[in-house]
Amino acid sequence: MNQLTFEEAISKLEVIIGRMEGGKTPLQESLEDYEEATRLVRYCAEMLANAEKKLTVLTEEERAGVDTTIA
Amino acid sequence: MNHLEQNQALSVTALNEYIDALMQADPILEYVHVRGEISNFKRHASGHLYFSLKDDGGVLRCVMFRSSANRVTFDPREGDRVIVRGSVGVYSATGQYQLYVQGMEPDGIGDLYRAFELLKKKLDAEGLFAQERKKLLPRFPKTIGVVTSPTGAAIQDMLNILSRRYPLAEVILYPSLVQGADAPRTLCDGIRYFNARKPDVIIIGRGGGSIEDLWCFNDENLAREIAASNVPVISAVGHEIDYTICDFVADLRAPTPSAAAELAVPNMQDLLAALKKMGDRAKGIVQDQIRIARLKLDRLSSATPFKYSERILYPFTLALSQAEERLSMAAKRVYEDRAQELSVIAEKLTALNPMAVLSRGYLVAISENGRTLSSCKDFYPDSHFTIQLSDGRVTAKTITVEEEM
Repeated sequence: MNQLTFEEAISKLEVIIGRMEGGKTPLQESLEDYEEATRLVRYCAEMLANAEKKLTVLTEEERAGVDTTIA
Repeated sequence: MNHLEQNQALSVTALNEYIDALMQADPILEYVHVRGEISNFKRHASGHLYFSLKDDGGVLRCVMFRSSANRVTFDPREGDRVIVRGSVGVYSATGQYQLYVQGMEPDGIGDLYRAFELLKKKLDAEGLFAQERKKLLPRFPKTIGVVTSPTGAAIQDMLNILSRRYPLAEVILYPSLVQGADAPRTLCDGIRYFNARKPDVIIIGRGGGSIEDLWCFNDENLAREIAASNVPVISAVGHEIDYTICDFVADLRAPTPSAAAELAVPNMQDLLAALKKMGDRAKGIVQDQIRIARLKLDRLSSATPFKYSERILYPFTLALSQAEERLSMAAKRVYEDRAQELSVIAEKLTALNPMAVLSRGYLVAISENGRTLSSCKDFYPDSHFTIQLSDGRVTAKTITVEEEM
């Protein structure tokens, strides 16, 4: 699970749980899904818990650095 | 005062009515525009507005009946500078003259207001406010671009809420002007900048202020810039009651900057609860599946073939044990045959063993370098040699050699 974004992790989790809820997965695969889901839940929760608000205030140069002529 | 004069005295009401009639006959008082600042503003439950207009030198009582008040396009408040129009008359019950107001516009921005209404109609007709144009906001924005003043309360309010609700999102502030003639240009630059940098959502706005302060958000170029934005835009200008063109054209209008921050991101606490729920659901599904599998297994194992398995397996176990027996017998036979062969060989070996000869009294003479000495020619006087017997060795010395020819 290297560097999934929060959104990616959540959508992955939703896919896995959707598949499990489909009820067509063999038990072995369900167990693997469950492990993966548990890992993803923990991953997302940790991401939220460890997140620190990041603020970037653009300077004059940074604003000028991006070509804004093509809108 | 003589008697005649006393007889000609008017009632209070009559005088008031007379003055009222005079005023209504006056071409100026009958329809007049008055500029002033609202004070003692009261909105009556009936919908009528009661207030005074004042300036440095005086006060004018005003009343605006509901039918007229309903047509006012802004929200008049205490202290607002306005231009009203109407007729002057006397209110007999108090003996005071007052202005019966028929229309009201903010002073100084009356023209702007008309321009606002015109622009709004024009852009609406072009479809810029159409619901189907509105872009969906991302569920979990990674980056939020904010176009506002770096020194205003709005950015602080937004940062407070964003860090509390969803600290995962990075905020990039494009410092812009939020009032004055140059503001629309910097606001447009901000929208363009973020369309190049592509955050997940843009918030544009400012905190509350006077109508004039907020006016830059009614700029046509800004409206078109927002409409053309590929990144969803949330507009958050002033207070809940303030509406600007920016609000109409944005993908989402937030009543305040704080509300914009709340609309832009999910709440972390809700997310954590949802995550826990998903984990529990996954667990529940697997547990159900295991329980069902176990039930199936129980049912199958209590069925006939398993119950009487020993009987069913008997022919196979019998065949197996017979096979095992045959295998061990075969192995034994092979071993015995080999043993027989071995003893024959052993006997032959015994017959060839020189030690067997020695045990019958024969000797072998061996030279010092290990050679067997079998001829007189191998000996010479004083040479040492070893005699091998069946139970050991003797060292000897040659005394004489007598060759028999």
